[in-house]
Amino acid sequence: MKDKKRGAFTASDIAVAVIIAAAALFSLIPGAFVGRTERIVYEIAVDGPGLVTAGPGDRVISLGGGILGTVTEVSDGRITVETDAASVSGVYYSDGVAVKSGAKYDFAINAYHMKGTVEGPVTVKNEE
Amino acid sequence: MAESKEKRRSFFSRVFGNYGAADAALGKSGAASLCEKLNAKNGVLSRVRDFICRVFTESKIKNGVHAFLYKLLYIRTRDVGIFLISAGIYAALEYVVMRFAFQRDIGMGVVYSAAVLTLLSLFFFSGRSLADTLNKSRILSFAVFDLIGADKSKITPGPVRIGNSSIALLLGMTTGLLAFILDPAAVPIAIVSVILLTVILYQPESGAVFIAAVLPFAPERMTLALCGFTFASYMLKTVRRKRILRFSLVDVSVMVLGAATLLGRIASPGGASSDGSLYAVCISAYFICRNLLCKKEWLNRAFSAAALSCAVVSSFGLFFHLFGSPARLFGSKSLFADLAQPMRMFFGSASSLASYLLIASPFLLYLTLSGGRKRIAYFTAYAFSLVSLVFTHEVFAVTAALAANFIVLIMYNKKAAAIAVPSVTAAVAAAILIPPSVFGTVADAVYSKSVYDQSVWSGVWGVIRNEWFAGAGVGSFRYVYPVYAKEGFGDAANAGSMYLQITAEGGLILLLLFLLAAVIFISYCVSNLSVNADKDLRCVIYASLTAVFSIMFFGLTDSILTDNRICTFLFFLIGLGAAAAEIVSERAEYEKITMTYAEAFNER
Repeated sequence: MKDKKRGAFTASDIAVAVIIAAAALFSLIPGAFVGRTERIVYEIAVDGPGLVTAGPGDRVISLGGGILGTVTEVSDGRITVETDAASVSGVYYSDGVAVKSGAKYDFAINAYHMKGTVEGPVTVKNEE
Repeated sequence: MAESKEKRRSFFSRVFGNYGAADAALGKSGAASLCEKLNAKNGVLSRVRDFICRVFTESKIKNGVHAFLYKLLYIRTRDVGIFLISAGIYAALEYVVMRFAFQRDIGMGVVYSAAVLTLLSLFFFSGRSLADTLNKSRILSFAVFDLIGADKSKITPGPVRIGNSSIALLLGMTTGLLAFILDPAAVPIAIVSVILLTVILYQPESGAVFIAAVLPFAPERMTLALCGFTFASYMLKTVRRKRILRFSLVDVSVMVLGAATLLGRIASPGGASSDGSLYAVCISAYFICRNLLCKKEWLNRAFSAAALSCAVVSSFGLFFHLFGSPARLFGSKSLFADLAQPMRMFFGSASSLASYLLIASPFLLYLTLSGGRKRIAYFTAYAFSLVSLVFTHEVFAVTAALAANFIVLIMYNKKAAAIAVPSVTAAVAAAILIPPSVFGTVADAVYSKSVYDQSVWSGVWGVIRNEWFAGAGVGSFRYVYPVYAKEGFGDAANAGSMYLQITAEGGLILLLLFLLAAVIFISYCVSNLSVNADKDLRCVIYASLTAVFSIMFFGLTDSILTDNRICTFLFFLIGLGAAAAEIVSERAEYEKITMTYAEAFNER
């Protein structure tokens, strides 16, 4: 009796390959949702003291990791921050940190620890 | 004819199924004789052994503790209950008096301990001796004899020899009244700990089972101390020639990895004194399992203990996550309040909990698949553990669990491939039907983690580029990383990837040794799966393989091994799998020899 010709891979090999391909495909999800990067401007209302140390040009560093942006204006317990952010399904992300109205942060400016909340809308800065 | 009937091996089993040949090559080398020499009787070793034996058998402290504990077995059970209830009630009274009469807060922990002690006392109301109760109570008998493996023949039922309720009441009262300086639960815990340590000293196997049972609930230092104590007890038994050292290729790879991490730690700048990444201690968990659990009943005990603690973590964790902690539950202000937060019960961090569930949940899955009367209970616990995994919000951990489970299920039963391929393909295709808002939420979570990880990785890459060969030193990540970190990411506690963390701390050498140990372990398990093995042992091997695959996948995006408890548990599990594979291999060898003898006998 003649033996059937068999391929190098069995059905379980193919199944394993499909599963690994599916897992790899899953890891590409975020890429599909990332929109264009834009320059955004928003305001953070700072809780407590410490704001006196901040000035235009200082970097706002999120204590969870990442840069929230650069201070452009300091006034009345608020700082205006400007940064390049990627849009992911409608939400702006600066260094992976979501910037949206009401978001609360633990952050540092010039090594001073502060807490604050995004107030008002997050607007896209039009480059002229 | 026999050859044509031979089952076709998949690509995977062909790649990983050659452990036997490699082990035989190692056996031929001179290295194998090292272990034999250690086990054999020779001059210096023999004298050391005699000395240790004498110290051990003649130690007055050891004999005194043993005699005291033996006497405790014959006290009246009700006296234990009286001690517990009086400690509980007086501790609660102490709290009330301190809080309302002296306006001094001694913490809610005292109230919780008092409640636990009072509840516990309800199990100790019998008038019989403790040894009698241990033998007759189903729960206590299961915990002491079936799980911990205490010798039933030594705890024989007998009449009460010591019974004094007044002393029990007095001791309980003192414990309760001292609540402002000492947690009332600490005294019973200390007594139970002494009993357990004595049991481990006499029977190190119980230590291994105990590690599996308490790992999620015990503090890190206690787990590591328990690991060290069990290892020391095992070594003591080995020196006294009551246990043996095992030596095969899979052990050598882990042994070399352990030695390299220890050296890497000693050589690291300031690392030797730091508290993180105690890989070397964690790796000792492997040898505990591998050498002590080489009997099916002990293996099953450890397996059941790990599955049981995973079920408890999932069930209680899920309950507390959904309904809040007991304090919040009684206040009933905000049920389901923690749903938006990642679940991190018992571990303090969501990724550690996810890693624990990844390692332990396959135990429950394979207990379900192995059948039996408790199948529904195991499946429910498994489902709970998967739901808990989803609540950790660790998207990559969920993906890793699904991928690893499918892959090993296909190895377990080839028919699973017929279900897996269409279902995975359908699940990927069905992604189009998921509402964009839901998909967007997942994408947001994955995106923010990927950006964070990539930024940290760029800093870690700087460390690796500078110290690529031998690494910066095991445990030195937190000192070295900030120098290379990208602005805004200097506070990262770990490298955000198991492989990058190992490379940054131990260099290419440690990474290669780690991967080699992983490949050899997988190969050892796969090689022994082809043998017609016992169903229970196969389940242990499959569960270990699933856990190792899950951790290797999840390790791509998380520094799993920086948590010492998780690291210990992972090596514990690898040891469990290796021990099961060893039993399978020994049985196959025994059957082969029996067959050869039988054939030779028939020919004659």
